[in-house]
Amino acid sequence: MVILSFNFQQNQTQNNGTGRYCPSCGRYIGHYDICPYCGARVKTRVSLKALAILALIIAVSGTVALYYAANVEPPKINIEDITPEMNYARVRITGYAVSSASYDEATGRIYFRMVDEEMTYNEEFGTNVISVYIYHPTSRDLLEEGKIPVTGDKVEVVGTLKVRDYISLTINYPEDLVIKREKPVDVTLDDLMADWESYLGKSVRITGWITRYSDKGTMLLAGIRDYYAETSEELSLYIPGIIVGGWLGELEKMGLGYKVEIVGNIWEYRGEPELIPWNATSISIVEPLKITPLSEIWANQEFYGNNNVYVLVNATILGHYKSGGTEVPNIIYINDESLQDYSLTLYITSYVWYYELNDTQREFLNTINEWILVFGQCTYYYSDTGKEFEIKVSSSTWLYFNVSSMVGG
Amino acid sequence: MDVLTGIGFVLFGVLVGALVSALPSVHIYNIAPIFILMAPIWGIPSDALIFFLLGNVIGFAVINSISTIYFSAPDDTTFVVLMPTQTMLINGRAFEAALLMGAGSLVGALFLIAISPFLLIILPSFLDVITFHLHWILAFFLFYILFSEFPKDIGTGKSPWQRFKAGWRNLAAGYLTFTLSALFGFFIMNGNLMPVDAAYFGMLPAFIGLFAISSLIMNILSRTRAPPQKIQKSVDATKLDIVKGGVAGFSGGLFAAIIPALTGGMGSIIAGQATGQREEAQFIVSIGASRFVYYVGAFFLMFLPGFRVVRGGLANLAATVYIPQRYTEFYIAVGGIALGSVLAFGILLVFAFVLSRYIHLVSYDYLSIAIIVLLSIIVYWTTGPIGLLVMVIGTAIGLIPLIFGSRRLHCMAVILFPLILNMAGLSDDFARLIGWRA
Repeated sequence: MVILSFNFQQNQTQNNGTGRYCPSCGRYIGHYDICPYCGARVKTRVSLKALAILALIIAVSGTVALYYAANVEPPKINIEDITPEMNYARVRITGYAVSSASYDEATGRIYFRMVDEEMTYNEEFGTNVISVYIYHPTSRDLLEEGKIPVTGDKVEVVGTLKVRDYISLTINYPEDLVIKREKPVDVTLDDLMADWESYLGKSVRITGWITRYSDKGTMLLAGIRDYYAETSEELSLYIPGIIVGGWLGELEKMGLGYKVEIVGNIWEYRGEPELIPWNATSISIVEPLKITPLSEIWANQEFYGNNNVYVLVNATILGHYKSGGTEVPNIIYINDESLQDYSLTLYITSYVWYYELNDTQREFLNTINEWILVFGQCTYYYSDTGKEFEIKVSSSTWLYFNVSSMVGG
Repeated sequence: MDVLTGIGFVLFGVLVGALVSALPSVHIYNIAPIFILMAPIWGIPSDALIFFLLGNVIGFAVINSISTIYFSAPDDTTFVVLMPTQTMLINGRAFEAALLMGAGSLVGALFLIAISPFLLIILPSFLDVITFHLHWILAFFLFYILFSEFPKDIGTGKSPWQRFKAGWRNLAAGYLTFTLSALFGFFIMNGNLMPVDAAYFGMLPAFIGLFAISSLIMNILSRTRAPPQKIQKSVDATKLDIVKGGVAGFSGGLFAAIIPALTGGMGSIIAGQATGQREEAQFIVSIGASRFVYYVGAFFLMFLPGFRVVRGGLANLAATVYIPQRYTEFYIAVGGIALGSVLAFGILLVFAFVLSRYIHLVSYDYLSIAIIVLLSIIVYWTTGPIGLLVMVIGTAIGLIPLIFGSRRLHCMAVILFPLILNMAGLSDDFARLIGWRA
């Protein structure tokens, strides 16, 4: 047996009338039908030319047939169906993003995690979550289109499975990621907090005031309350890094006390509801923080105090609270032009007073008739004599020594 | 996991892998999933299974050359050595060919063990550097495949057209093979051809068709018998041939083990050209070394502690079960490679001895037909009817270089081309170019 590269001319036995030459090894074999040297059969041979033509026809037509056969929709599967033999399989999975996409600028990689829509559990890998990766240039295309999922988005992904000790899926084409966002439902905080599980995975539009704000750098965590709602519960707001980083539009400046309208998904975090906006433009400022006249606060103390409303006031220092004849420097009486006959109490927490303020600032706050721009939270102080209304300052940045420090907690 | 238990599992794995790998064209990647599935039933813990699989791949890397030498059923790493080993078989020197490949495996094992401590230091930084450049490294290799065809002999004929046809026939056949293989691979890897639960075996029918079945068909058409074989007591090679072949094979095999998509055969070809290989014995030794370092080295990279490198089909499969993390496991693996390679070489000698005594009694026609049937059953069992169709198309493409005398290396475009596109982020653009996407 020899594998030869044939010229077609060699396929024919050479017969000079007195005998033949073996077409395989080329030796003279006389009238033998089987070559005594290499064992090749001489009489019955397949035409290589015919084989060559057949091979070319099958190869070319087969490749063309594969072009059409391979270009079909990939099958839809659930996470529970995934087995190690599915490594490198191209599949379709529909489900929900359980983490907002993150973008690594150095590697050009987008990453998020998802569950399937039935939340099935894979016994073999002990998980119901798979990782989804998107690499450059597909990731760049998706960013330009703004087609990036956030937590709670319903997604349909098509990609190649990678099954090792974990399961991941790689999306290769931009059109293989589809984010299915329904028209958002207008919902009040009362309705939402009463039955938030029924809104899980749904799109909502909600309006409220920011009552908690924390900039972590790679994400923003905040809380939204509706002062006019029956519930005093706060809805957590999670703005992921992909939005904070400016990849999905420019985020408007906002902070405590701002009234905002947000369109986003309701999802669950540690057993509590969480609102995740779709992108930067789905967060709009309804009413930025503005100076509230003290007279308005005075007239509506119950509302402001019971709802712990955040206010910005421009007031003058009238004096300080005295306890047993001694002035308490961090409890200050203030009023403004709208509240001439009365005063309100401004309480700067002891920690802020003694550890965050410097001597100059403390001296300023001890000076009568000085004007001060203050951001604070309306609240009640409960003492032996009953409850007393005050505006509480919990951070040195809430005191106007520098205008720009008044925003953002 | 104590040392003796780990080594024991490696040696057991070598025995099992050797027995399985002696069967023509049976790849350890096809059998390993069965072992992984059965391991819990047999009571083999995951950390022991890894050593068993290491033994399997050692046995396969050494023993599977039997399939190429005696049964003319190569795989994607041994098709390059088919011609010289077949020539040796015809001349009654198949045993010597097996010895040369076995010697190459031993040299490869020796070098792999020697550099194993340095891999811990060098490899992480090396991979950090080359990872972002893999696509053009592979592209350069693709260009090498295409342009190393030149220079070619001039065509002869009476008319200019005949001379042109004669001069370009082989080249045209080679480039046609390259184009068809490239498209073939792209459709399989980027399309939805294979059943989802057999995706892991996606390229198996293609490789079997391109390399094994096409060779077996030519065997049948040749209608020859293997002559009686001699049992040589020495090989026609100098110490320099062994060393030079071993070094070239080791370099090529290590390169292929680290770079995805490259196989040991391709790595050895590059290394052979780089080291100016001329001798046939050197080439066979280099293929033996290259195969060993490629298969075993790729799997062994998984044992590097604190560094997650998963290369090769078997490592990808094993990683679904257990990834070694400790230095003790790393050094047990090194010891296992040393002892396992020697055991595998001994088994190779036994198999080669037995086959050399009786191969001339076997009719190659029937043997080749039996192997084709066996391979078809394997393909059908793993991938179903669509896999058989892919195998047939792959066979037709694989026959083109055999019939027209061009290089079979062009068939490696089946995996290189789609992988290069993927790494360069151009799969989408190519899909649009050919009209697969709008």
